[in-house]
Amino acid sequence: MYKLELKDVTHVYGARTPFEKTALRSVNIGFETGLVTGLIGHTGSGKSTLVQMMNGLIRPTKGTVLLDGKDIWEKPKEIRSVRFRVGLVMQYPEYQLFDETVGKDIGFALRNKGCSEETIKEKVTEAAERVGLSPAMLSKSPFDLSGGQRRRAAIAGVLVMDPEVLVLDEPAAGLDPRGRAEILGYLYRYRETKGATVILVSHSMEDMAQYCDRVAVMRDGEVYADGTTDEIFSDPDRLLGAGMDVPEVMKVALELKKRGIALEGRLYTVEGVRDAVLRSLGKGGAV
Amino acid sequence: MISDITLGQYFPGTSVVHRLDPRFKIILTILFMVALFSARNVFVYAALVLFTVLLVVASRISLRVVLRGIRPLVFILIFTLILHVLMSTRTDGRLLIEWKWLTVYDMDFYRAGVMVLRIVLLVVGTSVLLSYTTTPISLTDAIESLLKPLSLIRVPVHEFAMMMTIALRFIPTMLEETEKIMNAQKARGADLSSGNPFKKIRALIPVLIPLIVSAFQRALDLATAMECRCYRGSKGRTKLVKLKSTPADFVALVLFAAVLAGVYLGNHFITYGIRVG
Repeated sequence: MYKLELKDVTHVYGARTPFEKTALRSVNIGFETGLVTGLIGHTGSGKSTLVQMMNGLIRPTKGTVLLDGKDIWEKPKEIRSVRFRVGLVMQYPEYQLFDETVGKDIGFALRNKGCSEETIKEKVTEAAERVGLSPAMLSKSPFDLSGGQRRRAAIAGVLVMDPEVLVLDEPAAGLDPRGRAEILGYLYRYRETKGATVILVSHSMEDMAQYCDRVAVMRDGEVYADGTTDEIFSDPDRLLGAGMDVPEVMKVALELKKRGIALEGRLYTVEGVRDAVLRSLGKGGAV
Repeated sequence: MISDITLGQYFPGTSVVHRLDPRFKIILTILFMVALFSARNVFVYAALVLFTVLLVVASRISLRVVLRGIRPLVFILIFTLILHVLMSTRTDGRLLIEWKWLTVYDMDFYRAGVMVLRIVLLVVGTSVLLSYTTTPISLTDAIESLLKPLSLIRVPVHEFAMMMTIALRFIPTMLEETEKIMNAQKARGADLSSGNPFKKIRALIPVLIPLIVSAFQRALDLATAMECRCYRGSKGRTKLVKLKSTPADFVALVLFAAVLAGVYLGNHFITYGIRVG
């Protein structure tokens, strides 16, 4: 059984106005417990809409969203309880910071949940630690932090709920390569320690290749391709044909193959290509 | 939700109303408003209702959109109605209720009804003439053009128009931003829709603070971007699109002037029926 499943989901924005637009068309997709699933697609492909359905921010025009097999919209009044279980980190989440101190801001979700002050304090420290924010930061104003630190504080504000499902919409957008790797690393570790189901939206094929167990490609409001990372990248022509990209290192590997060098294996990661090249050289015996 | 607010939203189209010169549309709106507030007679009001309906038809804006524009006003309308019926100190017509200081005459109901009708027609008329059928940019262009004579006495007309353009331009952006921040806080379990009014206002703090911060940030960025393109106010600035009036604009002007004249004649000569105001 899937941890989170969207069944035959359709969403129309601005229904019955001149601006009517179908964002999602009969989408079926499931997310297995404990796996990292990547969602990739161009702007306007429906990723953000899909993501906001997962924690009930958007109610689908048609179709159902199942969490542990239960329709999250069964009791619309209790939708908040779903939001504590499915943590959503929105795009550029640093804009959500508002409280006097970083610590208070991170604890916002728990105060909404009605936790005791002690629990909040404990969990806030833990969440801050998970994204590499030192305890000294917690007493600062969020507006005094640097961009990267604000991003982490905002992510901690979601992690603090200990969500079973963690949905991240471009968590590393606009960060430098090191900041990117750090943030994604923290999130990967959260998955490891909590066994959470993670859904990662990204434009970057590199992120998909490196962090995801499964990849779903969205196109024009539909799921264009869905499978394990191996399956998705085993058919680069299908990706390129849909106007998608493949990881840079894969392009190199493909060029090498075109020039008659036999490469086998996971050609979408740097390590995979390295091993394949070494194997190929070893076979030929020429070093 | 927020996207339901259609007040001040442009609907693209090519109807007669869409194609009128925005400068004329502003003048027409003023004439329409004066007519609306001058009407004294029930029959004249009926004629104005008909005129407004024709205006909506001519603009090809769907009735659903127009009605949705009124929805946010329902509270104000009910409030107006109650206030006019209960608090009126006028003592004409038939006495219906008398209880301590409270007196309700049947004329109070007519006056209250007319007040509500006025507000509805005002909102429908102005939004069909201006906001639904005119882009904010051409609207401010028109205002700038109409106020141009004031620049002779050193009123900074261009700067004023630019400020309005920017303000209007950023309304949808800010609404989008508000929705985004609301969603982000809801994702953290914020409850923005239940509880008493006081609680609801408090619940908005996590939305308002980031919104204000980002509005300032946006303003600074925009100022920098404008300076980078050497924007220096009105001096030596030319327009890409010049406003042009057509015969249709003058026809519309005559039509609206006739309506206004009709209202005055109606007030004066129709002596039967209920007079209000």
